[in-house]
Amino acid sequence: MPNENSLAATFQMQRGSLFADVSFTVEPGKPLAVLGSNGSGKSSLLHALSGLIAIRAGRIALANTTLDAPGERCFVPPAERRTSMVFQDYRLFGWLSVRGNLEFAVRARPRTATVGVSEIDELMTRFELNQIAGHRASALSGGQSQRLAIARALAARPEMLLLDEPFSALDRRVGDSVRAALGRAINDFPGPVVLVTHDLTDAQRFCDQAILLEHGRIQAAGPVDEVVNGIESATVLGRDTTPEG
Amino acid sequence: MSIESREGLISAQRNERTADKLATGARPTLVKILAVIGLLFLVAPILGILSRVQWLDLWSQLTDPAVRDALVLSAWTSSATTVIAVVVGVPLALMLARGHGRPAGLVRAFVVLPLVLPPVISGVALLALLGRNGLIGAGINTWFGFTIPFTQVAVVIAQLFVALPFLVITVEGALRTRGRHLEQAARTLGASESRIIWSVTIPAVRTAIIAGAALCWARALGEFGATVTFAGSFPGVTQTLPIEVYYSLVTQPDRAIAISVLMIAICVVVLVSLRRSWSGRFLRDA
Amino acid sequence: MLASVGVTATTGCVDQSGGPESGDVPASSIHVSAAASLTDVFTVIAEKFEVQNPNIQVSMSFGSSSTIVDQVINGAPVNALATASEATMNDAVKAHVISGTPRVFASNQLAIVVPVGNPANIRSIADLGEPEIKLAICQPQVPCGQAAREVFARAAVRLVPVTFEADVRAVLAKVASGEVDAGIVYRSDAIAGGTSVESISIPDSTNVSIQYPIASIASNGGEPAVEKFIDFLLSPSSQLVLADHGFTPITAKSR
Repeated sequence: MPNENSLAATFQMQRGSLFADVSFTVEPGKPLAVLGSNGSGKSSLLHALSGLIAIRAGRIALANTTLDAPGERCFVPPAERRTSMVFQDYRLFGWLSVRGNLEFAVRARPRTATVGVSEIDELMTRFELNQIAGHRASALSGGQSQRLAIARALAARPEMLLLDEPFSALDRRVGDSVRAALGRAINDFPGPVVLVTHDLTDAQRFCDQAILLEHGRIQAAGPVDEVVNGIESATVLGRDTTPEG
Repeated sequence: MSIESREGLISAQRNERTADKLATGARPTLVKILAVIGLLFLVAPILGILSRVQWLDLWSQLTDPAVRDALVLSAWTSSATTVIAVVVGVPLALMLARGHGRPAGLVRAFVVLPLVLPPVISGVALLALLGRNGLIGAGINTWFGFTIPFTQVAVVIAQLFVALPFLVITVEGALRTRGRHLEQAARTLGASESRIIWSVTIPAVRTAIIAGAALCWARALGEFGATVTFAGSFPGVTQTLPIEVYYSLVTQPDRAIAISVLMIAICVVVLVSLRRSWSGRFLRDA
Repeated sequence: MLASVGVTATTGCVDQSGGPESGDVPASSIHVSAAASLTDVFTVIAEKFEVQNPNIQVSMSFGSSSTIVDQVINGAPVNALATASEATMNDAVKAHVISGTPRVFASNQLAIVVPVGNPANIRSIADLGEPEIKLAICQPQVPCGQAAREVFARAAVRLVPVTFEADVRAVLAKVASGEVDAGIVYRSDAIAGGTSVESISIPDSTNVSIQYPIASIASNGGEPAVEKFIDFLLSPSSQLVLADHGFTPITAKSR
């Protein structure tokens, strides 16, 4: 039974001239992995959930609140959705300090509850950012950047966390330290989590369920181990998993 | 075995420079020759003008009251132009960067038009709009008793018309490549659109704004055709440096060349400092 | 009667000019660089010249006298040079680019031009000294600018233009557009302005007269054709055309 804070999404995406339908629910505490090769529509799916693109048909609802439903002429803009997104390319505000990036997220929603100064300190400790608090974000290493990006996403105190290939720009060793930090963050996160990845190991490590996208369509869905086993036997993603090693 | 010996041969010939060259791709001879011709074509005229400079009385030429008047006029009008260009050009670039489809394409075409339009035509167009008998100018004259041509206001307007596109295009390019992604991140964090513009968009493209402003300033400084057509030419009022060059070319060629050298020097300084900000800060902020 | 050799057209044109027969000169083309004020009249005269000399092609370019002299000194491929002042022609002579002696073929006087309807109600030079009058004259470096200064000095009127334009045509354009109340141009330009401007003459007592010399350029060849063109310019028919365009013809004594 879906939790009252679940994400429920049934929608049509447009990828070029191709329309495709997807449907899934994500309960808090049961993160969803979105698998698929490049160009399968994984990123578009996250953008639709965050409101960075509008869906053509269907309905996206979070905690029984409709976010996007063309049929009902309802669209909640991304800034009002309380869904934080962690991007593959970090998208930090390079001219601000590490602390400044976190403060930006804190002050972004002035009228609603966000984390306070003490919680910024707590986030900086949790993501090992204290030593570099005053550094400009543009001067950080890849691992530091992604740790800050995750901390910044949490600083906005979101109700849903969206992660778009958070390790793909990092080498294995750096990626592992970020993985550990992200693992703790996901465990503690009270709302739905969606992780887009092409790394099957990451999917199994962080998520409970998975969907496999091909050309904007769900090819397989279910518990993450089932979906991953299905993929491994079919070696559908063979070429896609190799680059990560 | 044979592979090892070949590698030995290659590493014996190898040094850092040739390896770098081979790695980036060797350039065919014909390409090199044509490139040198192209480069000479651009550089030789500058060398030509430098060869004509009377270096000893360069300073006295440039401190002549007539030149000083033109210099002061050019400096402040092109600075005023640049300030206005930033104030209206950055918002215009924002609209263009966010727009898509046919209307945005049409708007962009109009924005770029002054870049390719002969400046004299720009001047004629400004007269048709803001001249004493112009579409708007006639009304201004009737109601306020003020005519724009032959004033410093006209100089700034002429420069703005010609130089604004440089700023808009530079900033728009940066907004498309750098601004959009950061705006998306700020949006998912819950920042309002006005907050995003001030705290994300503008800081994200600030180096492009500086670069665009510098290009705009340099173009305004060199403006001739539109200015002379729309604003006329009167020493100390509307006679800018390029007009001074053109008018003194015949009777006082040494002065014309002295001013030319000054303007070339200014433009080189602007471009070199731009290069630094592009290659340095743009990459560091990425 | 004239017979052209080797070309298709045989002209039926009868003219008073005493040039040698066109058949004597091999097919050639000459380029004449002339003062801006000669734009219209030279175009007409060149057409007539070509009709009479079908084996000579005349091309032309126009600019302020000082500019075209400068261009010729810098090696512009020009066969003949016609300026709006003897001073500018002397610059060319001093630079040794002229072959032979320049010959004056016309003179010109200044006139006031005003926009159609004369909105500022200008009647004489004296009116142009009023501070609220917007006046355009040529920049002081070109002959028409110098001549304008002289006229104002003679009339003892304060000269306060709002703009110094590059040449007479630019002054005329400013007047025709109505951006200024008046401009000082050559009488020929006032006529060339047609219905877009009105002209007010300046009395001889204060007016100045400028001479138009023409000369052939030493290094660029084509002298026989250029000589023919200059002779044609001084012929009665051309002088009539010049008079039609507001120039003062050179009387027969100069030939």
